[in-house]
Amino acid sequence: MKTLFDKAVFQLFCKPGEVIEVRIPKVYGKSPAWGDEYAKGTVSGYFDDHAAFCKAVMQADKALHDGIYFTLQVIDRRLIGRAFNRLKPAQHTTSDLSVIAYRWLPVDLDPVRPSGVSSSDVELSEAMALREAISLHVTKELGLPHPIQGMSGNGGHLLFRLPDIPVSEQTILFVKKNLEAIAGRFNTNKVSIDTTVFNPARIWKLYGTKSRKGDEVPAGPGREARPHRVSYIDRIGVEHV
Amino acid sequence: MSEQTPNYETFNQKFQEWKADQEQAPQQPSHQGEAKLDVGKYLSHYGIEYKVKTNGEWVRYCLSRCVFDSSHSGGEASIGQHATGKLSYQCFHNSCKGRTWAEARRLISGEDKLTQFMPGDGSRPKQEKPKARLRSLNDLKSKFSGEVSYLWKQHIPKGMPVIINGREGVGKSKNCLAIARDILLANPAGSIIWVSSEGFVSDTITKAYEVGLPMDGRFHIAEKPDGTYRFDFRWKEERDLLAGLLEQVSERILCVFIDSIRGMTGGDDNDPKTGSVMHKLNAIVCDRFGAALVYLDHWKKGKAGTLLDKAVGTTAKTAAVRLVLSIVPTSTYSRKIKMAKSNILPFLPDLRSVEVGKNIVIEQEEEGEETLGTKAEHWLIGRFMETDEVPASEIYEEGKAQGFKDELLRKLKAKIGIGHKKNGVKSIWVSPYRELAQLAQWNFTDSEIPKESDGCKEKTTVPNYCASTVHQGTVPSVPSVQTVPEEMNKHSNKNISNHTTLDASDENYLKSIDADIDALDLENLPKGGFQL
Repeated sequence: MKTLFDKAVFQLFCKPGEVIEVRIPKVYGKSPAWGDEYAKGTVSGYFDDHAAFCKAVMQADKALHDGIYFTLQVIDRRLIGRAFNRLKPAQHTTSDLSVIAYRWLPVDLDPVRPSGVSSSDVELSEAMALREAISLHVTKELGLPHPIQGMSGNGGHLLFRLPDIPVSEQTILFVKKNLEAIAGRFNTNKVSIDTTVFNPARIWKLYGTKSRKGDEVPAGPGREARPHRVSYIDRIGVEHV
Repeated sequence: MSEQTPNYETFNQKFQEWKADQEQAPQQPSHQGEAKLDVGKYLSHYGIEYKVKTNGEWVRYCLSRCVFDSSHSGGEASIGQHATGKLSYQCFHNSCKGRTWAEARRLISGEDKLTQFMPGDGSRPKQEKPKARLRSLNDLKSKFSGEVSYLWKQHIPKGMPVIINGREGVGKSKNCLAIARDILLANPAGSIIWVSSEGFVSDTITKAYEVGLPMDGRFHIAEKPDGTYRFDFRWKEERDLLAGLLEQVSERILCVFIDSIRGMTGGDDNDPKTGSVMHKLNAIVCDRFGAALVYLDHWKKGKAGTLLDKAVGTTAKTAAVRLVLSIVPTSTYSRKIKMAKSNILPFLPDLRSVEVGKNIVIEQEEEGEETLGTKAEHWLIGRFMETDEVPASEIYEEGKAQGFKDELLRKLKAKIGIGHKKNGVKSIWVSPYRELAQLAQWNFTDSEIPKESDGCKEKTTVPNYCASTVHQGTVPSVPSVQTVPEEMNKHSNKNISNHTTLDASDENYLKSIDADIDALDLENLPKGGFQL
């Protein structure tokens, strides 16, 4: 299993000279991860240094949060001036206008379940199993390389590498339409493909951090376990290696 | 881990094709016509500071201060503009809840026109509304031939709506796919559209393979933009989608199948609006595209009188089509397709549908295969064309020799309308064709036409039906009984055997007789006027 704490993996998303934003929504209180400042709402930081990134994210993962996310696409590198290789209570976060190019076509497979709860193992396995069919379809139909396959903590992820398409109204529509087509074809009554992840500034689960949706529920009589899980990457397309 | 450079040749090609398609596609009109307000220019003009944020299809112009309450600062108020041009106003404070763009605009710019902040002159292009037209019969002759022609046997007329119904599991879908196959094989050009309003597309496709539908790309299944197949035609948007689909088909559309009425109308069989929905679809498919439209429908539970009564739900459904065919099971592997209603022909031969392996063969029953009931009916009609009155015992005896049971003959007696009277204890059956048979006895040559000189003092106009139905020669003036010379009786009696023998086996002749009987106003015939 791979995470973004692996430098090579980090560089798939943030090439030398590029910047990514790490964002933690819905936090409350102080933490050494964001310099013991009082935070109410969102904490954010911009990173181009892998070591600083690992240190900040690992520390933040110990704090109380629902999930830690990062910007998936190529963003304006000047934004690093907002929070230089550190996390802090956010005043600004990355908007669509600050995204330069689409690098990934993201496919988020969510098990169908009530909102605000983690998925059970059975639900998660349904989502993970559906990835293969989508992967085959998209590589064949769109001519894209084999994707990065991941686990978000509650569902499955697929990231298809695009050839860094500049962001425009047309490319946003292109990504949106493709996601809708994939969802239309592969949605089941157990797994739903999120079609709202098309916007350029979309944030994505940071692989290696824990997803904490709702309370952790242990298995019991007539009750499935709903654990908090650490997200990871389980397969990287041969073209990326 | 170092990334190789993947080959994006295929992707780039597809992306370019997609872009080209997008550029060619007609642009979606914005919410406020073609002109879209340049919000940035507008706000700058009135000295309002703002910051721009985008969120999906919305662009938010976050204002430094709320226009309704200047204490609401720090980007808490914003004007949103959707990609379509639609505008909204939002402020997070409760006191500003419900404020609209129109209110904000009045505060910012009063009654000033917005056209100066729109591209071009800001005016909306005037679109000429399509007008209804009056079309003459000649104009429409090219579209509608003026006579009924058939797409499939005599059972699916071209450009008309038809219902094919039956109980669930009887094989409606598969039989209709077999019909679609026959239509495609009989018509080398033209397409068929299948609308799976009940879903189960994988089932439809499996059956399509089983019945051997030609795989030449002329059989299309309608798919919605979201990748699903269940159309609900109660909504205009979905009907428009169908019309759009039909427009996409480059070649002639032969037929559209909708599986089923229940699926396309949300499941309420008794909803009287169903008929209205069907009429709207008929207008699109039959009138606009000139294609036949076949609805699949269900039977209700329990027993019903006629086949037409078996149709489930509102009668508006069967009223909205020209023909209703019912699939009736006859054995595990065979079905009959029978006419339940027709506004086109009074009679349609039954069809036999047989499952051969996984395939289905539908054929018309040959004449030799007519049922006992049909045979008996033909025999009885023929019998009473020849004779006015026959003792019942004689009919039973003759029928028995032909293999017809008494009970069957009694049923047919009622069906055909054979009368009956008593002669002592003897029961006599009376021909319903009595007057007609007598009319048929008249067959004069010109020389035999009675003239006044023959003693015909009184002239009577011959009713039109006589001229069109029975008489072979020139129609004579019909004399009243009292003035007919005796000689005429001789002529006509002589001609009975030579000219008026009705061949009961001639189906066409019988059909014309039947039709003429219906047309006759027997009650108002001149009393005794045709007795010779």
